[in-house]
Amino acid sequence: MKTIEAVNNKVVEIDLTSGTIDVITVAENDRRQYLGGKGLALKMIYDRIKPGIDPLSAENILVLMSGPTTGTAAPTGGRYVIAAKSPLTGIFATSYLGGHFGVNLKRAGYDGVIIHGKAEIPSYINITNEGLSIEDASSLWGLDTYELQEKQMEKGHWAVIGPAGENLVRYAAVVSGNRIAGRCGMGAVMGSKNLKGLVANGKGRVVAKNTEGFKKATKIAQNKVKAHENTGVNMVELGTAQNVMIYGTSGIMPVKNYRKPYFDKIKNISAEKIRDEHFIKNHGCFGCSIKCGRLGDFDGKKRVSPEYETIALLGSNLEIDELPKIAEWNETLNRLGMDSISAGNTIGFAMELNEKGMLKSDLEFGKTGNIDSILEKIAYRKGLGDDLAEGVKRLSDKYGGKEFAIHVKGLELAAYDPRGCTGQGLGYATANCGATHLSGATHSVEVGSYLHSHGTRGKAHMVKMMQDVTDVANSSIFCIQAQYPFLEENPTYRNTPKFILKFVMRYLPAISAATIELSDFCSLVSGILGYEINHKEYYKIGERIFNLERLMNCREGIDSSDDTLPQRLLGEELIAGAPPIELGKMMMKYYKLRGWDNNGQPKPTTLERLDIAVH
Amino acid sequence: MLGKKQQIKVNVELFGGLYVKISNEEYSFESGIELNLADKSTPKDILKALDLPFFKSMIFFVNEERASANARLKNGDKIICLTAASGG
Repeated sequence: MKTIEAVNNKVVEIDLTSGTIDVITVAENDRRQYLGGKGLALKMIYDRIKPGIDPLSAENILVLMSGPTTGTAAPTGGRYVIAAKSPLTGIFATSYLGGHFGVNLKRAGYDGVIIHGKAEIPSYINITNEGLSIEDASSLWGLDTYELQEKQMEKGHWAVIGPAGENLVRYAAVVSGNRIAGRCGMGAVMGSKNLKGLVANGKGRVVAKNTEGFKKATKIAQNKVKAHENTGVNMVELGTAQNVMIYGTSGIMPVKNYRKPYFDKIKNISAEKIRDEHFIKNHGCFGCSIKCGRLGDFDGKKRVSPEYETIALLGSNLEIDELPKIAEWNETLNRLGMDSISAGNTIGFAMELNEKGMLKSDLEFGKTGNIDSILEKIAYRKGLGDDLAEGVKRLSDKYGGKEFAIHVKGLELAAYDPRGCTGQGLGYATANCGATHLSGATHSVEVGSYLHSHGTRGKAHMVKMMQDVTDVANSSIFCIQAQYPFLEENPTYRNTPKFILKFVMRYLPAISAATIELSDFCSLVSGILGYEINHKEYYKIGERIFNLERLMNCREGIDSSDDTLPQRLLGEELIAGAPPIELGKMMMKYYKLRGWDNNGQPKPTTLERLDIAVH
Repeated sequence: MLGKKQQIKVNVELFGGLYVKISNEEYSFESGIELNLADKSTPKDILKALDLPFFKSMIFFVNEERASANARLKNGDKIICLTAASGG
């Protein structure tokens, strides 16, 4: 078997318009500064794209990029990123997924793929160790994602779109196996290029440069993943749906389009209920010991069990407590290729529009009857579905209701209402791609009461730190689930009493941020790359990537006025007597920490400090 | 009644990893479990009584209000015990 270095520095550049295929070499400086995954994908786009282009035009650039860990034995080493300018938000976006496509891309000898232009006919890209080709996908166009993968399994592992991507639904997803890159409409970008998917069938063996160093680091890291209470037990037994009871009880899970703090039927849609009544078996991404995915029996049908976000947005947010229906809709969304977070938010918004007589429809809170058909209509852009395919922001532009349109920068909120975790609010408001839970996620430290759920103390530091760490982790790439044991399974954290941790996080946030434990991240990545990256350098890569993306978005017109939250979340009390989110106060501190001016633009000195070459 | 220790009766519900680990046959998902405890017991004592581990990342609610692991409980309290949260 051919040996392939985990960082091979070969990236394929394809122009679908002309049909040309080139293999480029990643510049050593780009690798050192941006690492891989998210960072390298954004740098590749920044160097190539013109500002102001239409995300659904041939001028958009779609990048699929693995990280140094992809295909290795590092914990959660199966992930890759898909990046482009988003048709939902009009700014840059990255969406992550596991499955096996990224691993097979790497095994074929390529770290990533950059896609330009638009194919004349429906096409797919075939990737093997022998090379790449653009193939006719006319017979595959129209198939749902599961159908296509089942029929074309012998070709290898796919990253594909369904009908939603073909019909340019602005929150269309890319699907690989049954894992989904849901957020920000990467599937629509693929569809706009007449690209049904990519298939990779790599045969090489992926190896680290420093084999012994990497082996040692992997053993330590894997042991931490197994020893950690969350990744070793809770996530294995309950999956991400364990969050239902935690956030549902804490008044953070969205209910009725973010109007109520609690859903009285919460236990009916809990992970505990799934475990007791529906669970068949775990499944996971390549090389992952956590296996947070699960298959279940729902009314006699074997289906992928829905994740936390899906249960929240299609369950409590719509006041629906029927797990078999939610599991069915989840499968429909996966097959059609759509993001369940944006879909659930959009349907919830449409329900409230209907309730207020602003857009009459048959969508009502608490009623399951019309959800099946609306999902199909969205994917095929039929009737009301054509409007809902545009997402919450555009729906509110057309029909009104901006005060209860739940999005940030056009991206619908993930399932954490920031009125119960205000740092998460700052995270949503400043995350580069909009209201994602995968950048600056502080909900768990707030719910865990390390930081006060309300108030502002320590929040700006924590959000900035989490955003920077997440960005470098998403460039390495490590799944968010592996990040918890890496950060927490160390003697300092384990042996320090909670009251001391709370004190440091709240009153000495700079010390808390500076002493965050990154040794596992650094050891694993250093072993793969064959040169040492220390704590300070690793953290700086994350900070650099965050600022590069901000710079790219500022070039598209983003400024401080966009760093805000939906009116409902800033103006409406969720729990009687709870203080409002003091976003302005946290924002001032945050901008200062970031080295941005009052208009939210990175200062020249900041860009210089981070070695970001502006062009 | 000097010398006689007062008892309190509380209702306990467990979720997350604690639900996975509870082995007490009287425990039910629908209604939790009724426990008799010494007066001034805490959520931490509940875990001990049920032979469950304690982690500092655990979250407790007493009568729907957030409470610390060392909060003093009263007769008739309803306690919810949850394990740590993570990304979805």
